[in-house]
Amino acid sequence: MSNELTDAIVNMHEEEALGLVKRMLDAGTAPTQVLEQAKEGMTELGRRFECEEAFIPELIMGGEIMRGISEELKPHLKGSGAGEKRGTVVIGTVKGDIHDIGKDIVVMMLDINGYEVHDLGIDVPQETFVEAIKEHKPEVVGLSGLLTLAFDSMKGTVDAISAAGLRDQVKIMVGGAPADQQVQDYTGSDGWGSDVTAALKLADAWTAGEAR
Amino acid sequence: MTATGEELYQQREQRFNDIVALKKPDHVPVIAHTIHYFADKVKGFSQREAGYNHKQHYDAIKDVTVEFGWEFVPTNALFAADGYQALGTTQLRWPGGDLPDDVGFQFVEDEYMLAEEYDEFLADPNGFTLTKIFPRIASNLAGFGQVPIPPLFWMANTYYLLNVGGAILGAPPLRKAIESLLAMSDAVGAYFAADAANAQEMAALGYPRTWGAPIVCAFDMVSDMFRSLRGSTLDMYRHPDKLLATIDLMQQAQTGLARMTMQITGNPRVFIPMHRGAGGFMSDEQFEKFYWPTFKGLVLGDHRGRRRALPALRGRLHAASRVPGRAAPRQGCRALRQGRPGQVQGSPRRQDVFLGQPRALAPLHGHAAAGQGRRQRTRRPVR
Repeated sequence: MSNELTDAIVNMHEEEALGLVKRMLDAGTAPTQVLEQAKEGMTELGRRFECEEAFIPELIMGGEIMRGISEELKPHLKGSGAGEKRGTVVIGTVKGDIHDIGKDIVVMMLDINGYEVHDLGIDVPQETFVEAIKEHKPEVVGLSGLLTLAFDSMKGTVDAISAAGLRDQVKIMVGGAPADQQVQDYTGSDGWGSDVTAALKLADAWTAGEAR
Repeated sequence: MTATGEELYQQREQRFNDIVALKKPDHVPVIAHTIHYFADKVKGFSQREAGYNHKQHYDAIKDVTVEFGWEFVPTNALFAADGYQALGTTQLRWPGGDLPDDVGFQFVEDEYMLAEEYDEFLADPNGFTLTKIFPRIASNLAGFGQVPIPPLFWMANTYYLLNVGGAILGAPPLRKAIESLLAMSDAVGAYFAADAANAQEMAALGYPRTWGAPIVCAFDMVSDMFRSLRGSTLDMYRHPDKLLATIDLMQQAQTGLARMTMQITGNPRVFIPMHRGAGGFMSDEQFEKFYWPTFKGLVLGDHRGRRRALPALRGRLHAASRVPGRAAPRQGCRALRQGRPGQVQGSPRRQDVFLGQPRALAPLHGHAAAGQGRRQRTRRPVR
């Protein structure tokens, strides 16, 4: 049955996937095992996205199926340890920019992959990032933006984090369609990505303690 | 002898039409296609001023067009901020609204129609737009959703028009909505007056406008303005038939709008920016089912008439992985390794355009050129 659930997610068969989860639970399959198999489906979607064999609709629909599965599993997972977090991420679209499609996909995938994500929303002032870092103590901060005006906001936010004495405590990634190495250098951040897989790889590397 | 403004105008129109007809022009014209804030920034004006001071904005466009030696005057795609303000617009945010003065206007992505409302919209698109969409995109139009408005045909006689219509219009929320529409119309009237004066002045100087009407693919209309990217994406899987029915309806709107604007401006060129159909957004199958039929219709639909389509094809250059000097395809990415010659469609990535060195970009140009003259599909990823 294990591949059936993974396949149903990869092939966007929402009702089939949710039905399988119920049947697996009824048959006594451990909820943690069901969750792992569901995550395999999302991992495969991520791989296909990176290879341009799957696209944004598959990621969004896959996330939606995963959300339904998580709801189904939630009552069964209490106290199972399955919710153990991989790391904490504070993320938001920087001041002056109100775009959130890409950021929301990144938030979804980080969440599915075991991160505690604090999404600050759009048009986020520098001081809000600073306060969120003090409160949540994340390993990773994500600064998102679609417009070129975001570059200065990102730089200002990184500077504000430094001025607050928090720069050494976090790795900062800048992301969005226009992000590249120049943007990383300009903003003084630690990494950049223009799609969800890049964000996930950076977060994984940083929370695993790998070098920048 | 120096050409007159009228002669220059005709020469430039002819040059453009020759290019569209795949004839060799006498030279390649330099054209800035569309303009938002560029001219204002060159002249030292803020984005806020650009949206509110229409004459100053159009004068800046004139000055920049002449100074930069463009052969056409770029069409202004910045709309009247005082019009947004009159409506209490919530679907956009702009400088002078609640964005800073030096930030451009931005669209607020949201589900302005819910998935469960497709049937209601399809049954009565006009009524739904008036009572549901308008209040959701503009706070000052909330009255249309607060006061029960019967179908208009109920009032198709003098007695009921007075007794029912007269009574409804007296309701303060409805009155406020109507007054907001009139205030918006006044603001837009001033904007159009500046626009018309600019068109006339530039034409006299010999500068045609690049395009007259902007229209978008019907899928984009649904996704951008009604259901959001997330909503329209889920609809591809959960409500494909309703999505397609709405796309059909939106296609009528887009072709109708193109026709109407052509009549008003006299400009046969329509600009069709590609949004969700851009390279990298959706799969071939989704593109062919939900995007391509109507997009193709917009581009080719009026081939017997005067309409000239200026589609903006966007997205990633999918065979770029085979260009020397680019990163090798990632492990396990069979499709990327196999790229097909001649399938490269759309625009190079922005990094390639703005950051690439001429030498590094040469293979890209060569590759794109290799596809010229073929019967091309719009943009499709290599699979």
